[in-house]
Amino acid sequence: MIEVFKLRWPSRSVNRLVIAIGLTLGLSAQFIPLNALAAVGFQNAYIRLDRMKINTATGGTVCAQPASVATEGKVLVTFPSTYTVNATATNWTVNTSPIPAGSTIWPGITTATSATSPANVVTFGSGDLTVGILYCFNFAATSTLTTAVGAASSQQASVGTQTAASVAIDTTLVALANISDDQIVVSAVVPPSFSFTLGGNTDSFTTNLDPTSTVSTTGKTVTILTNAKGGWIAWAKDSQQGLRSATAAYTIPVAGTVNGVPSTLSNGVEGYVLDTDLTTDAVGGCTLVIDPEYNGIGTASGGTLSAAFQPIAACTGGTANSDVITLIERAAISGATPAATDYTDTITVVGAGNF
Amino acid sequence: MTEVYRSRSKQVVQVFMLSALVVGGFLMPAAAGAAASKPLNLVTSPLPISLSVPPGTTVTTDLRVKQAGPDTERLKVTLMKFSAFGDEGKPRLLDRALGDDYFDWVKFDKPEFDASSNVWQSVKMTISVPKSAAFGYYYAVVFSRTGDDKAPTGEAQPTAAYNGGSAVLVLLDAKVPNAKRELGLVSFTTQHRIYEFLPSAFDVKFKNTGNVHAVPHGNIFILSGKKQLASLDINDAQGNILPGSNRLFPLEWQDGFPHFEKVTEDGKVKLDKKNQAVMHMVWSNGGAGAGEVSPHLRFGYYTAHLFAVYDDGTRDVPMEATVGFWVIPWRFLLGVLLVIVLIGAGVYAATRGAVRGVRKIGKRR
Repeated sequence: MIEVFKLRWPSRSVNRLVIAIGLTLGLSAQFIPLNALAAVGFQNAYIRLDRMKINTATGGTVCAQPASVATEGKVLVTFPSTYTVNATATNWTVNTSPIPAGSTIWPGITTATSATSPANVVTFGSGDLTVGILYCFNFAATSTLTTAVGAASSQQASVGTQTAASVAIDTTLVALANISDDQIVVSAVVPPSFSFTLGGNTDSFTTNLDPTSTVSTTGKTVTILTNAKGGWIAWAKDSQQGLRSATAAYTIPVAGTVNGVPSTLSNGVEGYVLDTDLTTDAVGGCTLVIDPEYNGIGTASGGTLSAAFQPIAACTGGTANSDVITLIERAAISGATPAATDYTDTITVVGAGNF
Repeated sequence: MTEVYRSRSKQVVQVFMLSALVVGGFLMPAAAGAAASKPLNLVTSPLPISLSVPPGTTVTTDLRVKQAGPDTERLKVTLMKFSAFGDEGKPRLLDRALGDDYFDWVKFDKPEFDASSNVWQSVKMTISVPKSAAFGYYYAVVFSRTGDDKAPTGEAQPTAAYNGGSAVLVLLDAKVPNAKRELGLVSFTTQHRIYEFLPSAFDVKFKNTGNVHAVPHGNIFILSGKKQLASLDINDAQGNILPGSNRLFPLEWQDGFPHFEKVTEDGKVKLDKKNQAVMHMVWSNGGAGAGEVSPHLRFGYYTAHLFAVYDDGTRDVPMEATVGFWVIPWRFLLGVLLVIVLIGAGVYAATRGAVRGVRKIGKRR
């Protein structure tokens, strides 16, 4: 081993000289300022353009996280040669809102001081940056940058910082890409529709019918939603114009006539009516009106049920977002009304979007 | 011995079963035989369908229906007709009557079908329009649940049954050369001659004097002098007027400061005991002017000029009318007048007192 060493370094003085030079250089390096070194890359840097579509005017966001300690005075953004840079520097205005989450407003950023084409270098004024912090700013889209004419990926751009005296600090190459179209047109169809919900298909009277009082059913709701601009209509008709008992072969008849005015039942006098209550006229749509015939007042009146369909409610002048009406049957009997447990009636209720 | 034992044990079992049935029958609630009231939720699409075909042809249209209940339901299709009646042209639904042969032109590919929960079903309606057909035919296709038209049984109390249905209205125009598409303006009125504040309400009534349905549309222009302040759309929903019937189109001009609006609570219009909307005054512009900062004060005489048209098949036929009305915030003016009178009376009394005082002093001297 010693023999080999002797072969390479024949003189001990030469050997000492080499060691001395090495030590000297090593010590000197400790006192050389970093900014005198050749430019290094940022810890992180990127350019995010607003549009990736080919041949499209765009603005963008420039972000960089310095790696070198120095006093920045400029930031230089070099766009790919395939892009078109507007050489009017004053067009390259900047703003700092919004910027990406987690980033810091680029201090001292100013409108570009120069913009060159075809070199495609745009120089903005910058304040001093701190190592390790991600700074961002936006540049305007109007008359600044136009993307490449053809679609391509990995087109080289760069972000760099310099001192006020144009000494390079950090520089990082970044890649930009273009595609033929960067927007998705979202389309949807809302079909015209009419929703009709009947709260139940049977509605019992709350107690046995009684000659001393008018008895009513609990009531069933009809809920309507429609996007028909003309609103909606509801009709009702009755199967037998009264409450019919098959076993007693008897019908408690409907009261009154269809004349646009509700009929009022009297205790002890046979009668049967349909009362329609306005439960909800939903906001922001059509105006719901109960047909005067069926707009009963109090607990003993309602409209006359007919074998033919009669309009019971209508909503006009717009759409309906959950309009609700409540259908209540009311009945009175006399002392002579035959006893039976099977008094029933079937009312057909139909709704439709207006024509 | 064994036979006797078997016979007795059989009797014991029979007696026990009979007793159980009798006791169970007494304990069972009277309404146990009654079916639970079952909701029905139907969604239909599209909304009124307009078809226009020459006689002697066949036309098919898709009607879509969805039942949104939790269970599969069996639905049926019933064909009816509709028309309009009365001075205001109220819509009327009708069953088939004698002579309604045009019901026979219609066929459905699925007169009854099972509808799964929340699944759209498509029903094809095919109308074979004969060569003898002419003008307008107005169908109502009603979807309903099978069995709901039967009276309930076994209820504890007298019971009403509901047979609910959702209708799709179909307007068929059998195009013939002598079709007459003609509308007339019956009336254009304002509900009041004097309004304290907006809205001012207008009623526009048309009559179809032809033999085919027609659609009017147009505007009411609100003018102060010659200056146009607002434009209200007439029949922007493109509603039809059926032959031989009227149709009323109510409209409101709301763009005023202040103006009355319906009171709303929890997404509902608040109603009074007579089911009328409760109104309150809002100190901002209403209607089309809502959101504008400058107040649209309304005071004085205004004219409402109606201009509407309908297509008679060859050209747009115009209809025009004008009505005038006043907006006078009389209570506000009375208040101002009262304040002026009170101030005037105060000044008068003070002046008179001062003059009398001066005179008295003069007399003493």
